[in-house]
Amino acid sequence: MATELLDLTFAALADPTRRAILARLASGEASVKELAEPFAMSQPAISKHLRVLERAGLISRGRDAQRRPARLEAQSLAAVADYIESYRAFWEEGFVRLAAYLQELKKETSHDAGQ
Amino acid sequence: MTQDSSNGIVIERVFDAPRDLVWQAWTDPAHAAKWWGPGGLKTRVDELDLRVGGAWRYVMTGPDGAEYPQHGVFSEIAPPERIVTSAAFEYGPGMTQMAVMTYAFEDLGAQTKLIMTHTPSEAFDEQMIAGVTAGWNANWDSFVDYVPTLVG
Repeated sequence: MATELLDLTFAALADPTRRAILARLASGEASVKELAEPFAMSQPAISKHLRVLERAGLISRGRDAQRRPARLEAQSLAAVADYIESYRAFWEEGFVRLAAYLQELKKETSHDAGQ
Repeated sequence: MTQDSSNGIVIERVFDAPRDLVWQAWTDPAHAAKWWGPGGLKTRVDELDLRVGGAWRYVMTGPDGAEYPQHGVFSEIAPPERIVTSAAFEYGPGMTQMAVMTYAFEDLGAQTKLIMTHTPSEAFDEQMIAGVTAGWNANWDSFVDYVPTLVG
Protein backbone atom coordinates (compact mmCIF):
# COMPACT_ATOMS: atom_id res chain seq x y z
CA MET A 1 0.00 0.00 0.00
CA ALA A 2 1.47 3.36 -1.04
CA THR A 3 2.38 5.70 1.79
CA GLU A 4 0.30 8.49 0.36
CA LEU A 5 -2.88 6.43 0.43
CA LEU A 6 -1.95 4.99 3.81
CA ASP A 7 -1.55 8.52 5.10
CA LEU A 8 -5.05 9.36 3.89
CA THR A 9 -6.38 6.14 5.36
CA PHE A 10 -4.88 6.70 8.80
CA ALA A 11 -6.06 10.30 8.83
CA ALA A 12 -9.54 9.16 7.83
CA LEU A 13 -9.57 6.60 10.63
CA ALA A 14 -8.39 9.07 13.26
CA ASP A 15 -11.90 10.43 13.65
CA PRO A 16 -14.29 8.57 16.00
CA THR A 17 -17.37 9.49 13.96
CA ARG A 18 -15.82 8.06 10.83
CA ARG A 19 -14.90 4.86 12.65
CA ALA A 20 -18.48 4.62 13.86
CA ILE A 21 -19.72 5.11 10.30
CA LEU A 22 -17.48 2.24 9.17
CA ALA A 23 -18.83 0.08 11.97
CA ARG A 24 -22.37 0.85 10.83
CA LEU A 25 -21.48 0.06 7.19
CA ALA A 26 -20.03 -3.28 8.26
CA SER A 27 -23.60 -4.47 8.70
CA GLY A 28 -24.62 -3.29 5.22
CA GLU A 29 -24.70 -0.32 2.88
CA ALA A 30 -26.57 2.83 3.89
CA SER A 31 -27.56 6.18 2.42
CA VAL A 32 -26.52 9.54 3.82
CA LYS A 33 -30.02 9.95 5.24
CA GLU A 34 -29.89 6.56 6.94
CA LEU A 35 -26.48 7.35 8.42
CA ALA A 36 -27.48 10.83 9.61
CA GLU A 37 -30.27 9.56 11.88
CA PRO A 38 -28.39 7.40 14.41
CA PHE A 39 -25.46 9.83 14.53
CA ALA A 40 -27.66 12.86 15.18
CA MET A 41 -25.70 14.77 12.55
CA SER A 42 -26.79 16.83 9.58
CA GLN A 43 -26.70 15.16 6.18
CA PRO A 44 -24.05 17.62 4.90
CA ALA A 45 -21.84 16.74 7.89
CA ILE A 46 -22.24 13.02 7.16
CA SER A 47 -21.52 13.65 3.47
CA LYS A 48 -18.29 15.39 4.41
CA HIS A 49 -17.16 12.39 6.47
CA LEU A 50 -18.12 10.05 3.63
CA ARG A 51 -15.98 12.05 1.19
CA VAL A 52 -12.97 11.64 3.49
CA LEU A 53 -13.60 7.91 3.79
CA GLU A 54 -14.10 7.55 0.05
CA ARG A 55 -10.89 9.41 -0.79
CA ALA A 56 -9.05 7.05 1.55
CA GLY A 57 -10.52 4.06 -0.28
CA LEU A 58 -12.32 2.85 2.82
CA ILE A 59 -15.80 3.10 1.29
CA SER A 60 -17.35 3.37 -2.15
CA ARG A 61 -20.57 5.08 -3.18
CA GLY A 62 -23.32 3.47 -5.24
CA ARG A 63 -24.40 4.82 -8.62
CA ASP A 64 -28.02 5.33 -7.69
CA ALA A 65 -28.21 9.13 -8.10
CA GLN A 66 -30.85 9.48 -5.42
CA ARG A 67 -29.46 7.34 -2.59
CA ARG A 68 -25.78 6.91 -3.49
CA PRO A 69 -25.49 4.27 -0.77
CA ALA A 70 -22.11 4.01 0.96
CA ARG A 71 -20.53 0.62 1.34
CA LEU A 72 -17.49 -0.61 3.22
CA GLU A 73 -14.37 -1.49 1.21
CA ALA A 74 -13.12 -4.25 3.46
CA GLN A 75 -9.92 -4.75 1.44
CA SER A 76 -8.64 -1.29 2.32
CA LEU A 77 -9.28 -1.90 5.99
CA ALA A 78 -7.50 -5.23 5.77
CA ALA A 79 -4.51 -3.50 4.09
CA VAL A 80 -4.26 -1.08 7.01
CA ALA A 81 -4.45 -3.94 9.49
CA ASP A 82 -1.71 -5.79 7.56
CA TYR A 83 0.52 -2.72 7.64
CA ILE A 84 0.08 -2.34 11.38
CA GLU A 85 0.66 -6.03 12.03
CA SER A 86 3.81 -6.23 9.90
CA TYR A 87 5.46 -3.25 11.59
CA ARG A 88 4.34 -4.33 15.02
CA ALA A 89 6.00 -7.71 14.43
CA PHE A 90 9.14 -6.00 13.07
CA TRP A 91 9.60 -3.76 16.10
CA GLU A 92 8.63 -6.38 18.64
CA GLU A 93 11.25 -8.77 17.26
CA GLY A 94 13.83 -6.00 17.46
CA PHE A 95 12.89 -5.35 21.07
CA VAL A 96 13.23 -9.03 21.94
CA ARG A 97 16.75 -8.98 20.45
CA LEU A 98 17.56 -5.73 22.27
CA ALA A 99 16.52 -7.31 25.57
CA ALA A 100 18.85 -10.27 24.97
CA TYR A 101 21.67 -7.98 23.86
CA LEU A 102 21.33 -5.82 26.98
CA GLN A 103 21.83 -8.91 29.11
CA GLU A 104 25.13 -9.53 27.28
CA LEU A 105 26.16 -5.91 27.74
CA LYS A 106 25.40 -6.05 31.44
CA LYS A 107 27.54 -9.18 31.83
CA GLU A 108 30.42 -7.54 29.98
CA THR A 109 30.10 -4.40 32.08
CA SER A 110 30.17 -6.28 35.38
CA HIS A 111 33.06 -8.44 34.08
CA ASP A 112 35.06 -5.31 33.22
CA ALA A 113 34.30 -3.81 36.63
CA GLY A 114 35.59 -6.96 38.33
CA GLN A 115 39.02 -6.77 36.72
CA MET B 1 -0.36 7.16 29.39
CA THR B 2 -0.84 10.82 28.70
CA GLN B 3 1.97 11.41 26.25
CA ASP B 4 1.66 11.05 22.50
CA SER B 5 2.46 7.35 22.75
CA SER B 6 -1.28 6.75 22.40
CA ASN B 7 -0.87 7.71 18.74
CA GLY B 8 0.29 5.40 16.00
CA ILE B 9 1.48 1.82 16.39
CA VAL B 10 2.75 1.67 19.94
CA ILE B 11 5.22 -0.94 21.18
CA GLU B 12 6.45 -0.83 24.72
CA ARG B 13 8.72 -3.09 26.68
CA VAL B 14 10.46 -3.00 30.03
CA PHE B 15 14.14 -3.85 29.77
CA ASP B 16 16.10 -5.27 32.66
CA ALA B 17 18.84 -2.65 32.37
CA PRO B 18 19.36 0.94 33.55
CA ARG B 19 18.36 3.72 31.20
CA ASP B 20 21.88 4.85 30.32
CA LEU B 21 22.71 1.38 29.07
CA VAL B 22 19.53 1.12 26.99
CA TRP B 23 20.24 4.55 25.53
CA GLN B 24 23.78 3.44 24.72
CA ALA B 25 22.58 0.23 23.08
CA TRP B 26 20.22 2.27 20.92
CA THR B 27 22.56 5.12 19.98
CA ASP B 28 25.97 3.48 19.59
CA PRO B 29 26.37 2.19 16.00
CA ALA B 30 28.39 -0.85 17.12
CA HIS B 31 25.59 -1.84 19.51
CA ALA B 32 22.71 -0.99 17.20
CA ALA B 33 23.95 -3.35 14.48
CA LYS B 34 23.77 -6.22 16.99
CA TRP B 35 20.05 -6.12 17.69
CA TRP B 36 18.26 -4.02 15.06
CA GLY B 37 15.46 -5.69 13.13
CA PRO B 38 14.15 -9.23 13.15
CA GLY B 39 16.45 -12.21 13.70
CA GLY B 40 17.75 -13.82 10.51
CA LEU B 41 18.61 -10.47 8.96
CA LYS B 42 22.02 -8.86 9.30
CA THR B 43 22.07 -5.13 9.93
CA ARG B 44 24.85 -2.81 8.86
CA VAL B 45 24.90 0.71 10.30
CA ASP B 46 26.16 3.04 7.57
CA GLU B 47 25.41 6.23 9.46
CA LEU B 48 24.12 7.23 12.87
CA ASP B 49 24.61 10.94 13.34
CA LEU B 50 22.88 11.53 16.64
CA ARG B 51 21.90 15.18 16.54
CA VAL B 52 18.93 17.20 15.36
CA GLY B 53 19.12 17.24 11.58
CA GLY B 54 21.57 14.31 11.62
CA ALA B 55 20.94 11.31 9.39
CA TRP B 56 20.88 7.60 10.10
CA ARG B 57 21.02 4.78 7.63
CA TYR B 58 20.78 1.08 8.42
CA VAL B 59 20.90 -1.62 5.79
CA MET B 60 19.38 -4.98 6.58
CA THR B 61 20.53 -7.95 4.49
CA GLY B 62 18.36 -11.00 4.01
CA PRO B 63 19.63 -14.60 3.74
CA ASP B 64 19.44 -14.26 -0.07
CA GLY B 65 21.66 -11.16 -0.02
CA ALA B 66 18.81 -8.76 -0.75
CA GLU B 67 19.32 -5.42 0.93
CA TYR B 68 16.61 -3.45 2.69
CA PRO B 69 17.79 0.06 3.53
CA GLN B 70 16.14 2.14 6.21
CA HIS B 71 17.04 5.75 6.78
CA GLY B 72 15.85 8.98 8.27
CA VAL B 73 16.71 12.28 9.88
CA PHE B 74 16.51 13.01 13.59
CA SER B 75 14.20 15.87 14.57
CA GLU B 76 14.55 15.58 18.34
CA ILE B 77 17.32 14.18 20.55
CA ALA B 78 16.99 14.47 24.32
CA PRO B 79 19.55 12.15 25.99
CA PRO B 80 18.75 9.81 27.59
CA GLU B 81 15.02 10.30 27.31
CA ARG B 82 13.67 10.79 23.86
CA ILE B 83 14.37 10.41 20.16
CA VAL B 84 12.13 11.52 17.31
CA THR B 85 13.06 10.74 13.73
CA SER B 86 11.66 10.36 10.28
CA ALA B 87 12.05 6.89 8.83
CA ALA B 88 11.91 5.54 5.29
CA PHE B 89 11.69 1.78 4.82
CA GLU B 90 12.77 0.64 1.35
CA TYR B 91 11.39 -2.69 0.22
CA GLY B 92 12.21 -2.34 -3.46
CA PRO B 93 11.93 0.07 -6.37
CA GLY B 94 8.97 2.37 -5.73
CA MET B 95 8.13 0.53 -2.54
CA THR B 96 9.23 2.90 0.18
CA GLN B 97 7.10 3.42 3.25
CA MET B 98 7.61 6.46 5.42
CA ALA B 99 6.89 7.03 9.06
CA VAL B 100 7.63 9.20 12.05
CA MET B 101 9.22 7.26 14.91
CA THR B 102 9.24 8.33 18.54
CA TYR B 103 11.25 6.52 21.20
CA ALA B 104 10.69 7.41 24.85
CA PHE B 105 13.09 5.95 27.43
CA GLU B 106 11.53 5.89 30.92
CA ASP B 107 13.81 5.53 33.92
CA LEU B 108 12.56 2.78 36.27
CA GLY B 109 15.77 2.52 38.29
CA ALA B 110 17.37 -0.83 37.48
CA GLN B 111 14.92 -1.18 34.62
CA THR B 112 13.93 0.95 31.66
CA LYS B 113 10.66 1.19 29.83
CA LEU B 114 11.02 1.92 26.13
CA ILE B 115 7.92 3.19 24.37
CA MET B 116 8.09 3.30 20.61
CA THR B 117 5.53 4.91 18.35
CA HIS B 118 5.39 4.35 14.61
CA THR B 119 3.14 6.73 12.70
CA PRO B 120 2.94 6.35 8.94
CA SER B 121 3.45 9.71 7.31
CA GLU B 122 4.79 11.66 4.39
CA ALA B 123 5.73 14.35 6.87
CA PHE B 124 9.45 14.81 7.14
CA ASP B 125 10.14 18.23 8.52
CA GLU B 126 9.80 19.02 12.20
CA GLN B 127 6.80 21.25 11.89
CA MET B 128 4.91 18.61 9.99
CA ILE B 129 5.89 15.97 12.52
CA ALA B 130 4.51 18.12 15.35
CA GLY B 131 1.27 18.55 13.43
CA VAL B 132 0.96 14.83 12.77
CA THR B 133 1.63 13.94 16.38
CA ALA B 134 -0.86 16.46 17.70
CA GLY B 135 -3.54 15.64 15.16
CA TRP B 136 -3.77 11.89 15.60
CA ASN B 137 -5.93 10.62 18.37
CA ALA B 138 -6.63 7.02 17.56
CA ASN B 139 -4.91 4.04 19.08
CA TRP B 140 -3.94 1.85 16.14
CA ASP B 141 -3.10 -1.14 18.25
CA SER B 142 -6.64 -1.48 19.46
CA PHE B 143 -7.70 -0.75 15.90
CA VAL B 144 -6.02 -3.96 14.74
CA ASP B 145 -8.27 -5.89 17.09
CA TYR B 146 -11.19 -3.84 15.90
CA VAL B 147 -10.73 -4.41 12.17
CA PRO B 148 -11.81 -8.07 12.09
CA THR B 149 -15.10 -7.08 13.69
CA LEU B 150 -15.65 -4.67 10.82
CA VAL B 151 -14.50 -6.97 8.06
CA GLY B 152 -16.55 -9.78 9.52
